[in-house]
Parts: sequence; C-alpha cells; structure tokens
Amino acid sequence: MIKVDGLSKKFDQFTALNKISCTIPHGCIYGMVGSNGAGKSTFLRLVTGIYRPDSGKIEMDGEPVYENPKKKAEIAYVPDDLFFLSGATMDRMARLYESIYPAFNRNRYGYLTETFGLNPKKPINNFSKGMKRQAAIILALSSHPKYLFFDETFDGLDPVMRNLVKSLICEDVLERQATAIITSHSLRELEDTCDQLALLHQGGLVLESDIQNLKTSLFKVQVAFHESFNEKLFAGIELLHYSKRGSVANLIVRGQQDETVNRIAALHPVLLDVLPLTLEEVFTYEMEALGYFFDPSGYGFVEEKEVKA
Amino acid sequence: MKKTWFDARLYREGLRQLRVIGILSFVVMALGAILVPVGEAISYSSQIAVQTAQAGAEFNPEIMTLMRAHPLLMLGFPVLAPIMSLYLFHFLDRRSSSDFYHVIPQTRNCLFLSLTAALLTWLFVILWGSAAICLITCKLLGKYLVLTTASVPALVFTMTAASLLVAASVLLAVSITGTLFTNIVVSLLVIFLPRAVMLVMSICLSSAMPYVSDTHLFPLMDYSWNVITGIMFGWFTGVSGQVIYSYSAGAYTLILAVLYGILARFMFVRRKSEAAGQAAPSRKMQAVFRLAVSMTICLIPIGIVFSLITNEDVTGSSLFGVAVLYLIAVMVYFVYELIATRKLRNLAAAVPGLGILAALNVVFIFGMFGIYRYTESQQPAPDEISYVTLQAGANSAIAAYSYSYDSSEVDYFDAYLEEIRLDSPEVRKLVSERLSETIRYYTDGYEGGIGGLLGSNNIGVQLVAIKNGGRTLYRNIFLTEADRKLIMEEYKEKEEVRQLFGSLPENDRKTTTVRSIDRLTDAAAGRVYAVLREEAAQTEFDEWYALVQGMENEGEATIVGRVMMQTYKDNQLLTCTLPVSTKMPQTFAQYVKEYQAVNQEDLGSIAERLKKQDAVVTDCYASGFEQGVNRFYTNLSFSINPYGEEDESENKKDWEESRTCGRELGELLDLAGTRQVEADGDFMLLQVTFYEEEQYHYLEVYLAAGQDDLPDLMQKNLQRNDGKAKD
Repeated sequence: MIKVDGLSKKFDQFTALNKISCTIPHGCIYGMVGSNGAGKSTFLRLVTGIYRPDSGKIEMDGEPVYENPKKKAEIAYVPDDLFFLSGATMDRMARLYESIYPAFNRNRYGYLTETFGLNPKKPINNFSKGMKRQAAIILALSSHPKYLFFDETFDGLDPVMRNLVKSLICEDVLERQATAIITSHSLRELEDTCDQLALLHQGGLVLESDIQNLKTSLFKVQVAFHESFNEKLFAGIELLHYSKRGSVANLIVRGQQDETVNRIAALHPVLLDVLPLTLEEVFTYEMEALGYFFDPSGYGFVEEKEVKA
Repeated sequence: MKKTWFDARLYREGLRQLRVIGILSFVVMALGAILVPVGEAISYSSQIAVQTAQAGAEFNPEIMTLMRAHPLLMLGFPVLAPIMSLYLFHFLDRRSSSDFYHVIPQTRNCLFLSLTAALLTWLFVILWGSAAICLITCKLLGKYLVLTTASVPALVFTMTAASLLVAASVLLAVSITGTLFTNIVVSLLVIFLPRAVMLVMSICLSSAMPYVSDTHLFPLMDYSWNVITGIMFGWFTGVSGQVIYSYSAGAYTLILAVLYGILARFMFVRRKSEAAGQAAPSRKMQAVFRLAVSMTICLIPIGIVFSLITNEDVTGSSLFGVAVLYLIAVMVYFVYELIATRKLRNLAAAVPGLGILAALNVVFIFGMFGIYRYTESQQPAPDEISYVTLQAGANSAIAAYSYSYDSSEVDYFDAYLEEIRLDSPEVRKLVSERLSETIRYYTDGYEGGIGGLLGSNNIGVQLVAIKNGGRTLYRNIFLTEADRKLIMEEYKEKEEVRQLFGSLPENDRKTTTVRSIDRLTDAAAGRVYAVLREEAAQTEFDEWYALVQGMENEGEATIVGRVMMQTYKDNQLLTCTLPVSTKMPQTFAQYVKEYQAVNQEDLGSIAERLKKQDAVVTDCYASGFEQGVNRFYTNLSFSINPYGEEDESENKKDWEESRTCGRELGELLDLAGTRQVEADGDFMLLQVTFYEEEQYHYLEVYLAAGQDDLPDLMQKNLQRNDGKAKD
C-alpha cells in the first residue's frame, strides 16, 4: 500500500504539489489524470523516491521511499522522458537492469521482447518513439516489480500495443498483486484499465474515487412534464447539474438510481429516461460541483471564481 | 538498509560504461610508453655510432627520467581524468538520466562511491599500467637507456595525485551544477581559481617588491604545492617544473583531492535530481558562480590598479586600460549568465550582483596593499637573524662565477650549498644591511639604498633564505663582489663544504654520469673524471675550490679542458663542469693521454707524409694565443699537395721553404709520441686543419714544445700582425 500524507513540493517559487494526501491500496490500478503542469509527473517522482518532498510523507508498506534501496527494488518506473544508455541495445539495457534490479528476470525479458516483436540487438536509438516506449515497458515489467509507475506511457503506442500493455499490467496486478499507478491527460485511456482515479489540478488533488463508484453513483435523467416546471420540483434529490431545453430537463443526479427514478416517477412525468454517463462527463460534473468549470480553450478546469472574474 | 556504501554490480556497470574510453586511452598511452623509449634508443644509438667509430665500443647509456621516456603520462590529469569523469557522471545533466539513476535501488552514497571506484580503477590501470610498460621497455633497451629509479615512483605518484584532483574537482562540479557548460566552468574554477588568485597576488606583489621571491611569497599557498597549478602556471612564470617529482607536492595534491572528493560525495548525496539541466541548484549558487567567473577576469585589472598605486604612476592611458578591462569583466558577467541559464530576463536580475563584484575588487586591492606594506616592513636586524642560506637558481652567487652557466640547469654545488647555514655575525650583518638597502633602492624609485653602488662594484642579485624566528624570508638582495667573497670565505670554513667539494659522486652510470664537452668521448671523459675525483679529494681545498669557482689567479694554472658531471638529487638534475687544470697533474696527464688517443692514427700518418718531403705545404696560415703561463696554442692550417708538383710561375725559394716547413712540421708532430707533456713544463695545443685530396681534415694534439720548436715558416706567420702566410 502506498500512503501519501500532506505531500508538497516546490521548485523555486512554483508550487508543483500542495498538500496531497491519498492512499493507494495493494493490487490497485490507480489512474491519475490532470492537465499539463498539474503535477502528475512530480507526484510520480516523489512517490518513486527521485525527489525529496519539501513536506509531507510518502510510505510504501509503512516505510519511507526516499533513499530506501529495499523499497526502490520493488519499484519500476517508466517516465514520459525515457532514458537509455548512449548507443545501447535492448540487451545492453537488460544487462544494466539486471545489475541494478535484483528481481530482473531474463526469461520474462526474452518472452516480452518476442511478444512485442522488438529486435534486442538493434540500437535503441534507431527505434521509433513507440518502440522505445515498448522497450522501456519491457524492461520495467521484466524487473518483476511490486509497484509499477507509468507516466503518460500510452502516448506514442498504437491501439494494439496499448491494449497489450494494459493486459500485461492487469496480468501483473492479478497474478502478483502488483500495484500500478498510471498518469495520463486522457480519461478515455484510463477508463477501462484503472480501478481508482484521481484528478490533479494545479498541484492539488481535486477528486479521488473508485471508478465503479463514480460511474454508478452519477447518472443522467431526462424528464419532461405537461406543466411547466423548474428545478425546485426536484427538491430532495441531489442534483449536480440541471438544464432545461424546452420542456425537457436534463438532470445529473448523484445517488441510488432506483430510488431516484421512483421519486421522479411519482411526479407523473411524460418523459423519464435514465442515461449512463461517460467518465468524462462524470468528471466534468463532479468538478462543476466542486466549483471548477471546464475551459475548452485550454483543455483544463478553471475555478469558478476565475470564470466569474 | 543494506548496500549503503558500495555495490559491486554498479561498480562493474561503471567499468563497463567507461570501457571504450578506457581501452582507447590505455592503447594510446601504452603505445607512447613503448614508442618514445624506442625512438630515444634509436636516436641515441646513431649518436654513439659516431663515437664508437672514433674511439672504440665503450659508451654510457643515456640516463633519463620517466617523464622523458613516457611524456604521455602528463595527459593523465588534463585529458583522461576530466573526460572520464564527465562521461561517467554526465547522467546528472539530463532530467531523464538523472531520474533513472535516482530511482534505482541504491542510496546516492552507494551510487557515487561505486561509480567513482570504477572511474578511479580505470585511471589507475591506465596510468600505472602504461608506466609499467615503459619500465619494461626501458629495461629491454638497457643497452641504450637507463631510467632513474627514483624518478619512476615520484612521477607516477604526482601524476596519479593530479589526476585524482581533477577527477574530484569534476565530481564536485557535477554534483553542484546541472549542465555540461557549468560542469566544465565550475571544475576549472575549483581547480584554478584559488591558485590563480594567489598567483596574481604573488606576481603583483613580487613585481612591486622585486626583493621578494615570488615562489616563496605565500608559504603553502605557493602554487607549486599543487602539482597541477605548479606545472601549468610554471609554463607561464618560467619556474622549474620539478614539482612533478616532488613527493610533498604530490601528497598535498592527493590530500586536496581527497578533501574535494569528500565534499563532492556530500554534495552528490544532497543533490536534488531536479537540478539536472539547471546551471546551478539555486539562484544564490548561480550568483556565486557568476561572480567567480567574473572575478577571474577582474584579477587582471586588479593587478594593474595595484601596480599603479604602488608605482604612483597613474596616467590617462593606464586608467583607460583598466576601465576597458573592467568593462570586459562586466560583459563576461552577463554573458556567463546568458549562456548558463539561457534566459534574457535573468540579466536584469543579475545587475545587483555587480555591486558585490565591485566590493570584492576593492577588498582585493586593499588586501594586497596591506600585504605590500607589511612585507616591506620585514627588515630583521642582524641579531634577529638565526642564519642565512644562499639559494640556487638564476641569481646564484656561485652561478655568477661558474663557467658556461646555463640558467635552465641547476648547479651541483649550488644545490648542496643551499643547505649550508651561514650564521656568522659578519654574514648576518651583511645580509641585514643589504636587505634594507635593497628595499630602499626599490621604494625610493631606484635611487636610494644600494643604488649608489650599482655600476661600480660588479653587483649582482642573490636569492637568500633568512631564518627569522619561526619564519623564513626569501629575499632577492644585491651583493657586491666583496660581499660574495666574504660569504665564500665563510663557506670555506665549513667542514660540510669541504666535504662537498672534496667528495664528488661516483660515475655509476645510473644516477651519475659524465659527459665530454670537447673532443673526448663520454667514456674517455669518464676516465678523466675518475682520476679527477681521486685527485680532488687529495688536493688542497682552497686550490680546488678556487678552480671550481673559476677564481684561479692568473699566472698560476692553466685550464686545458673540462668534463661535465650530471647527477640527480631529489629527482632534480644537477650539472657541473669541472676543470682539468695543470694544478692537478694526474688529471692533466690522463686528459692529455685521452686527447692524444682521439686522433693518434691520423697523427702518425700525416707526420709521415710531411717528413717524406714529397708533400708540399702550401697556403700556410698560423695563429696562436696565450693561455696560462708559457703555454702557446697554435691554430695551424695548410694544404698538402701530395704529388709535389711545382708551379713554375712560383718563386723556387718559397717552394723550398714550404717543403722545409712540411718536414719540420712532421718532426714536430712526432713529439706527440715521443715527448711526455708535463703539467709543469712547456706545452702547446696544436690545432691543425689541412686540405688534402679535396677534403678538409682536422686534428688537435698536445705537444711538449714551445714556440721556438715551431717550423720557421710558422714562426714568421705568427710574427706578422695578421698571421697570414704567403707562399
């Protein structure tokens, strides 16, 4: 289990992370989403022990990570900016990993290399961007880590490889109770892989929830009545969003679906439909409830006060 | 937490990463270690081939130091160490690689020590391995080359220490900075700036105070303690590079390397991975580096300003020059910031730092002026001086009298006389007075003090070491000829000096060798030296001392030649040319014997041809000069016509005269084999150049004969003002 408590990190005057707290249980695939500069990579670097936090604690199974070789031996980190030795082949990198990571497994390395179809004797410099990413993933997975960290790893992978990688991650999680943390700025990428999702915005953890819970606890209801009506009709129901066009109202509701439907049905609407929400929509409405609005120009969320300003 | 100090696998990985550079470097060094001695042996063998053709198969192998046999060893610290260090630790300059190495399951301490161990392993293998190859090569070429055994460990030690210092400085720099540019700049600052400051201060102060030895101005801060700066600054100041054989300099350098290494390790452990790609870990450190770089440039105008103040010679052009130099320093200040950070907006933020730069300059100048005044006041009274020693070098008193003085060599006797303490009241009083007068001469604008004696008393400058309480003052003071004689008299009273002059080192052909500086072979010179060595031990000290110092009284002895002795003291080459004089008859006899043997064969042959009277001596030219008492050196040249043909147009009487001259000359040359040349008798050195069979021949021969024994025709030539003969 990874426990983060009050984590903060500054670079000169810029606050990259501001008092982040979260708990990532064993065997979880934890997704972290946020716009550029939200602090995702910084978070990963802190959790993997690359950076030392300015304040707060990070513990893995109850032990701090920074300068802890024992814990670091259980970590594999695939950053967005990959590193390979100059002129090295995959085999050369494998030798490096083998010398560094005690659990590195040559057989798994060979198997994964073959699965991905990469030439281990070819200089990695000659690989495409996607192939380099595959190489990094292979090396990380071959280390049999207990904790996997992927920083925007799926960028540059084609859909087939993306699915392959996802399946390998799930395999490790299922078979060895590994824990994976994946960051991305695309919700769609994480939707079908992660168990938990967190949203980082400007260094702060805005939202963290179980995906299933997110999907089921929020739903859309389309309703229409003969008479005119407004939002007040639905008092007692937890509305995150209310919009009306003509005589049809769209409600974004948090709560038990059956109970909500029954309550609305008791009002004798002429139209009553329950529609599922995509994860993007869930996030959008949750963020609105928290006072953040989606800024289409910058692809990010802005605070309500900024919008009003 | 295990593996906190060293990880063998990480160490092996470090070795692997340096493999290409390491192997390439080793091959280059090994080739140099083999080819240079082989080249020297080939060159030397062709030289001795000439000598052996003349006088037999005996010759001395060339004695050389390891530096001469393996000069590539000097590449260790300026090339190998920085390149390998920067290459192995370059991962700290990029975010991706820095993150990678900081996520691996090792502590930073272990990472640093394991990789550093790999770096040091390669350095040791290359330096020591190539030195060993050189040793083996020289051993195999022992017929031609002999390595001075003392030079080997000394040079290997100093070069290793210098390489370690550079490596440690680079490691310190990479642990602080995050770009290649700043890695290099900060490394250079760490290595050179402290010493550069000392050097500039030393040059400025010794320039303002010529009476102070610039190499002894700041004890321990003297740049020659540091092997690297001792070598590199020595190129500019002309100071001897003997630092490469100095164990004390090597030890100091090694200690400095260890200290820098410890600091580097400390900084590495504390380093933030996010510093990768950043010029400095913080704005404050960036300001420090910026100031340090600018101050390096400011050292020049600081020196000029100091000179202007002490010389009281401020002119418009000098002020303008100072202004321009400071402008350059300011430009460097901003340019460094721009190159290091690549942000224009930082230039504005850097402006306030100029105030600190200015303040540092003021502190420097005032500090140097304070040292100047303090040093000027150091004029110990005679009773405050414990003893004085005369230092060897360019201003040596002994050197002023020595024959064929060469400022690049250190005289054998000078080097040992440095250790002789002069503590008589007369010498102490003399040195005290001369020091005060010398200082007054400079401070009064080259007029006061000893200035009144200049030009009249054969005054020279002597470097002396004055022991004053717990400190030693090294000062250049003026000494008159009378002063030197007084000092020489004190030397003569000392048993150690008598021992020094009376016990010359043995020509063992390992640490000591003898060379000829005239027509003798080295082997012949060695035989002469052996006799001279024994005779010197038996000769009256005053007589031998005067001969060596070139202070022989005219009319009492003749010096017919010299032999050069070379030996090593503390890995420093010492030389000495020793006179062969008529005052030492055994040495003289051996010398003459060796001289005659050089061209005995030629001599006999030419004498026979001249006596047969079928050779006509023509174009006869003779000249001579006096040397010593009753000695006559005659330079004789003539042509021999072997067919005895006469030119009918010539005067018959002149031809007869020429034939007679030839016969008499032949008989004179016979004396070389019949009459012994005695040191206390008449003798001459006949130098003969003759033309025969379209070739010029030359020979020299000592003859137990006087001017009256010369052929009439030659005597006529000599009597003429121009000495030119007419047939």
